[in-house]
Amino acid sequence: MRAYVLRRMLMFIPVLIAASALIFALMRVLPGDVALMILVGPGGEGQASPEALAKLRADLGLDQPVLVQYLSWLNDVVHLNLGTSYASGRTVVTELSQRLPITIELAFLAIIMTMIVAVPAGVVSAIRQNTRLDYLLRIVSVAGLTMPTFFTATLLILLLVTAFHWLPPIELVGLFSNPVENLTQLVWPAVMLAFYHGAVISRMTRSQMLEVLRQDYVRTAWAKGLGERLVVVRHALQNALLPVVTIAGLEFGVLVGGTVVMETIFVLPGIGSYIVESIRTRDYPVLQAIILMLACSYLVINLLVDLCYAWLDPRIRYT
Amino acid sequence: MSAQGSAIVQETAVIRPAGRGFWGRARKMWRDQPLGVVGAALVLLMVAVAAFAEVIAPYSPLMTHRGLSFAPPSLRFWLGTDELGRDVLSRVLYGSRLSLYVGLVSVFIGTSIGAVVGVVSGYAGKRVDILLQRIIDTIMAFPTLILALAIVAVLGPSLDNVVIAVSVVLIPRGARVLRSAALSVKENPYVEAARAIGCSNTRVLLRHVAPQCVAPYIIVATAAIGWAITVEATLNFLGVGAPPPTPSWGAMLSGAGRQHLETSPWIAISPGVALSLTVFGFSLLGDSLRDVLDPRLRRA
Repeated sequence: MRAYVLRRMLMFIPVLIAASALIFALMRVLPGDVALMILVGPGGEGQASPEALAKLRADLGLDQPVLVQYLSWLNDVVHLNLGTSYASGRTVVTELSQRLPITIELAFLAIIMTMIVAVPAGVVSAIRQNTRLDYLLRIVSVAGLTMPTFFTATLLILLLVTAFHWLPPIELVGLFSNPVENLTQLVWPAVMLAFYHGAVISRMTRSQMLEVLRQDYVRTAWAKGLGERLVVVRHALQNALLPVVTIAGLEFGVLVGGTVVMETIFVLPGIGSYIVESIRTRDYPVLQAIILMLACSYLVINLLVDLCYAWLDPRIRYT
Repeated sequence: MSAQGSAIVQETAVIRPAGRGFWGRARKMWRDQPLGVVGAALVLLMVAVAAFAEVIAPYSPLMTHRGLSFAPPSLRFWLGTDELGRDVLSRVLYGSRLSLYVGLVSVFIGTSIGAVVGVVSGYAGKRVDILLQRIIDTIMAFPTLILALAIVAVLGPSLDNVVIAVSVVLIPRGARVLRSAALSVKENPYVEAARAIGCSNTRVLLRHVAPQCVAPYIIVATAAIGWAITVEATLNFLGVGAPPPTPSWGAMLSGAGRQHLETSPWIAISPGVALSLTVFGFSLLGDSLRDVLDPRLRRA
């Protein structure tokens, strides 16, 4: 196991460095001059004298060689100095620290809902294969996969508005100031995120369960006279869940994309809606920091999933 | 009937379906892959709508009708009008062009680049493989929508940039699948034989390995179209896609479609249904093509 962890870590570091270099390069191939853009503003309403432009370029380090700029930026990132937002004038760390908890809470709620609903749905669908219940669950999961999340969320809002006169909150209540109100506000976007991810997980659970239920050892368990719950939960589900763990990890990236959409629709001040806002205002320090942070978390989660999978399934470590 | 005669009849019965006409083959396809046929029909319908939008659409998608903003569905405007009095049906019909254009072009570009990278990586092995796979790993380090958003943010919101963004995020898919296909193909004895008679690496790659990777390429590409259309619609929904007044399903669902959801739900629902049906069609078609082209999933 130690050798596997070491090998996997060695693969992780170069990819992380390459990802940071890619983000740095992306932000340097912007059409136009960043310094000019800051001075004249996104709408081009300001003015920039050549002296002011040269001074700002020097302040931003844009007059340095690209490699020096990259290493300097990396050094700043390591010291959590992510720069200042052009739009708000506040440090990016301050902005992120206020928005990150909301996105984490939303994603966490969605994951819990997904696991509570999707895994049992997949199991039921498999053990009641080709029954009406199976068909119903499969139709729901296909709908979840094919209907874009922003459309299902729009339909949900329409339903909530017409049936319950519910409107997306204007201001989000903090989790610690009023937990019940906070959960009430976040539950619907979380349900919508869970709808898509639940579809992926339930389909995966179903197909894995169907495969495992046909294995000899499960037949032996039935032949021994064990009860259905014991056979399904203890013998089949434990093995069927292994690939589901991997998919759940890989789905993190899609979940992050989903939070962008949900936060925009439900007007939540999280990281997702902040990305869209930063694109509109061309707030590149913020954009750069968020993308780097998300890429790092995605890589770390994939690393953890791989290690978790290797721990659960010894065959992986030896390949 | 003698045993020999019965065998001949059986053989004829087995052989006959191949010689049946179009309708016979269509019936067989419907029997074997009913969902695939439904998917293909939906895709064909969408392609026809996109191709003949000028003929089918009752109005121009940009034409505004004064005093008829937010008109509900009626005989004159089958799907109602939007905030500027434009016919929603016409905009939905024209919107199919944008979705299919981005879906097909970006999948072709992204999957093809991925396929070339994957086949070369799988065939060459060693250092080339390690280098190319680390590049792919780097692209895969970013959540797809975030990478697409970042690319559009850098290049600026436009239709071409959406195509570039969706193409880039599709590269890893093609590369991963085609690499494993190339790895498996290059182990075949005929590839070894080609090398043994002195064929160059380029010739072996182009004449013997690449043609065997066409089936997985088609599977990956078809399965990716629905996904690419969803990403394109999401970018338009978030306001970083094609600029207004271009008719786009994603953009129709945001803005006025969302602001006036309670009073004029038809503005948002119509493009959403069209989008879902298109993605559904491509998903079904992709699944069925995989079943037909992948020998491991083909029925015995």
